[in-house]
Amino acid sequence: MAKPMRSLQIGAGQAGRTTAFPADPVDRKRLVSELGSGHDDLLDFVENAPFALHLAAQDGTIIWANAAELDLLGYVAEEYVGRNIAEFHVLRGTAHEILRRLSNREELRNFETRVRCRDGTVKHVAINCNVMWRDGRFAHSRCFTRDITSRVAADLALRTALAEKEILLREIHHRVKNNLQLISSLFSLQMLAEESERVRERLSVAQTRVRALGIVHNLLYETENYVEIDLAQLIATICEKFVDALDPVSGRVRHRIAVAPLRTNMDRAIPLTLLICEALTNALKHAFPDGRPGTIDVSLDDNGGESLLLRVSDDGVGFDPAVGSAEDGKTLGLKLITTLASQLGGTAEFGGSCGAEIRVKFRRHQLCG
Amino acid sequence: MEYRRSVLIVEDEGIIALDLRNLFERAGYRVIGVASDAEHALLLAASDPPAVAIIDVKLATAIDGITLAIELDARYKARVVFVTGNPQIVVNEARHLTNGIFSKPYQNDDLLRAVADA
Repeated sequence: MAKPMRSLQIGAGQAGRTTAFPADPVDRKRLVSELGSGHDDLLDFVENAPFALHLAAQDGTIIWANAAELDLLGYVAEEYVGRNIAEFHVLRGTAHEILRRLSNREELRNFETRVRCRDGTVKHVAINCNVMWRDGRFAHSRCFTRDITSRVAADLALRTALAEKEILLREIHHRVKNNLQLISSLFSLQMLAEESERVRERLSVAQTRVRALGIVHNLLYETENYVEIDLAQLIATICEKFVDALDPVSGRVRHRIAVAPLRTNMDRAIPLTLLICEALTNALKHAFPDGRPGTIDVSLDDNGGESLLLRVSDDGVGFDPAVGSAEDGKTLGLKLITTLASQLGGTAEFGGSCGAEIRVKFRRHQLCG
Repeated sequence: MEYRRSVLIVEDEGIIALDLRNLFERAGYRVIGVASDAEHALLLAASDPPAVAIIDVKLATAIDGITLAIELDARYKARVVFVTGNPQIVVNEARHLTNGIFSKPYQNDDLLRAVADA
């Protein structure tokens, strides 16, 4: 058992604060003499440091503690010095682990644990500790204890807030997707009530546009990244959903994709998705009449320069001059493509030498900046 | 008497449920009923076990669509097609019961194909 120590009133530091020091005054004299007369200041430094310090014996008996350590736990020296550190650790086994590691010549760095104060409250602490070995024997451990209760509480609050935000975002996306389905169902019901084939067809196209919005929400939801979206993944999903689903005879119209590795945000992903869907719908509707097979190519080229080029082309019958261009307002689809391209800071062109081609030139920073 | 496959629709959003009923009736199925919760679905299934159930995963009441699917499989060997706002929450234990998990907003033709294959 280590020699117990007594408490001292420290005059030189913070007047009246109680600290603990070797009970035998000779020890103190010896220490001072070993350190040299000028080291009274050094003793005052450790006794009144704003950092909790204690020395403990190999069996865990506390043999000295400074004022900050006593303040941390709410004890006076007489109640604290001479007791075992195990009495203050909340978790059974913690003190044993600390002493085992120290005895194995390990040094503890930021060892986080919980200690119980005199008033019953629990504090989170980080302990740094090593051993003074004298002639190969464990003389005492030097423990520096830092109160991290407020940091742990802040971490917990942050984690809780993040988890709540995540749940809220998921719930919002879920509701958005449910509402998109609701709109789609309303269109379906309206279609049933309509006698005109032409009106039914228009409602079906409107329904398709609603589903296009659903694709973006679905991807954001699935990738659990609510900020950015991978364009290759987005365009592949759009093609899969539209070309594969709208093609009435499976496999008749194929699609090929070549998209540079680029990312964009939610604000741009929505108009871009609508734009590509319009281009695909246009191709599927007009390019391959009378069961004609064909291929739709979708590419987004990045040549490393300032501009990015989106192309949706097909090897079908080409643009029908009678259908008109976007400018003359004859087709809503082409007008939407022009408008959405403009919203994204780009310009759309319609043409193609064999089949139809829709080209949209974007400025990189406006699409992916 | 003409045999038509029976379908149970479990969806708590009335408009979507009505749309689903129309969709399957027009496709030639016999819709045994529309339930807005799992308890009602089990009552309907008890009197007329369905061949296929179209189930919204997230239902307003205590029993969710996944638990309902497991029950319908255990009691009546009913096949299941899920419709959901969050396809990721269909847990592994229910995946083998289903012929499709469709994310809202879904394509009607996809649903019809999945039910036809079920």
